[in-house]
Amino acid sequence: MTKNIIIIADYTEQSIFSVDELCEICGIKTSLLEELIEYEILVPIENQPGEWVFDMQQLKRLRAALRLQRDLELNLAGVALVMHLLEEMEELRARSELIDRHLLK
Amino acid sequence: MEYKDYYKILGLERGADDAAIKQAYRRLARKYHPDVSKEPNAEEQFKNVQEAYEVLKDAEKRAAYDALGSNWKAGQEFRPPPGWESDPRFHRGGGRQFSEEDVQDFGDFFANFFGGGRAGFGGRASRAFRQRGGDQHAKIQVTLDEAFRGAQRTIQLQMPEVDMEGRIQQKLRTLKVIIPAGAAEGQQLRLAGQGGSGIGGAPNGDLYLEIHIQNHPLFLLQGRDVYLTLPVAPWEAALGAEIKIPTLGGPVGLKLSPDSQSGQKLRLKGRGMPGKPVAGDQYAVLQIQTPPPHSDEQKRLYKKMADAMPFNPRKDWVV
Repeated sequence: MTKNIIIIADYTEQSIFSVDELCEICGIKTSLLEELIEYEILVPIENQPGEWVFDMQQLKRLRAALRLQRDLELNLAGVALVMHLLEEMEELRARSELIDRHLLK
Repeated sequence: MEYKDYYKILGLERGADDAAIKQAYRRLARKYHPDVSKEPNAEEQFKNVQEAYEVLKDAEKRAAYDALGSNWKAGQEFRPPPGWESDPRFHRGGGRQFSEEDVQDFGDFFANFFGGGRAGFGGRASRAFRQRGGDQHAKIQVTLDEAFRGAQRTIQLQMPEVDMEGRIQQKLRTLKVIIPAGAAEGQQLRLAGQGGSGIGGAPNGDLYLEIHIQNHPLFLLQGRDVYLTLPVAPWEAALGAEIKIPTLGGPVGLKLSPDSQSGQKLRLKGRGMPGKPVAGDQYAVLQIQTPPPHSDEQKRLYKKMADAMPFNPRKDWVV
């Protein structure tokens, strides 16, 4: 049936998701998504009047948040804190790599 | 099929009680959760922990697993005991903590015993069964130069597909990936419906691609900015110099002013990664290298400098 179809994966196309789309992709209820926005775990794109929209980065964050919530049995305040700390750690790691590679030779 | 020792994976004795199982899972989840952990193979380790917990936390599944016997060693070629297929404790899909997607990623051993009606020894899914296909993930490795300029990459992926009989088969799929100039580390792309195929008319899963930018021998990315170590001779730092330095877009001339010091950052505006609204910058971090004196004449030169230039780099110390 499917021989060798070539799939085009074009990174230059910007993905934008509505609330309904995010909920469907991740199999969650709108109420949970709204809570995630209240906790600032998800941030809709600004300057979009009317309905909330989200970019790919936010889908990635949403998937990570759901994994953390489920696998580590965290509540949303915990998820928000963990994600904030992870971002901070990521920055510190990048900074320490810079120091190791370019200042401490 | 290889035997999996779920107790060993969780670091438990066979007789461990429910509380101990839960505690072991929580401890290992903190250690290996792929969103949090920097342990090598965290993802694989965590899958094993999830799989072990999925079975051992459920009294019936655990009893069925225990009934397979305790003389097996992890990794040993495993043959199930006769008559196991009619044991209702196997193939129970209910009471799951983890998503279908995770469960699909568990190994053969799990799929065969606890696969819940999916392609196991039974071989086919029941007709009325509907299930969304699993999401697939792939990483695309690009060099820093490719991320800077943009690139096209053709990759091949093994993707599970369910055939007419309900069996899962690996199909080779070809992907042409268009990477834009200024691609970022970890940037994801979602290809809707290109993941694992759904069963019983349910929709396909999605395919997620993630860009991974390889380390570059000279440059280091910090967001959109690019860092480069610029080694200079002491006289260049002292007197100033014109130096040709590499950037991702090609070499540019840089004017080093007199009295420069090690660790100083020189900014080349807009020479970092392209992006909106503005491109990143390149920073050249000065590093003064001291030429080692080899000959007597070279040693005399240093001595002469010491005499002619009174200089105490530790003048602020009170020792």
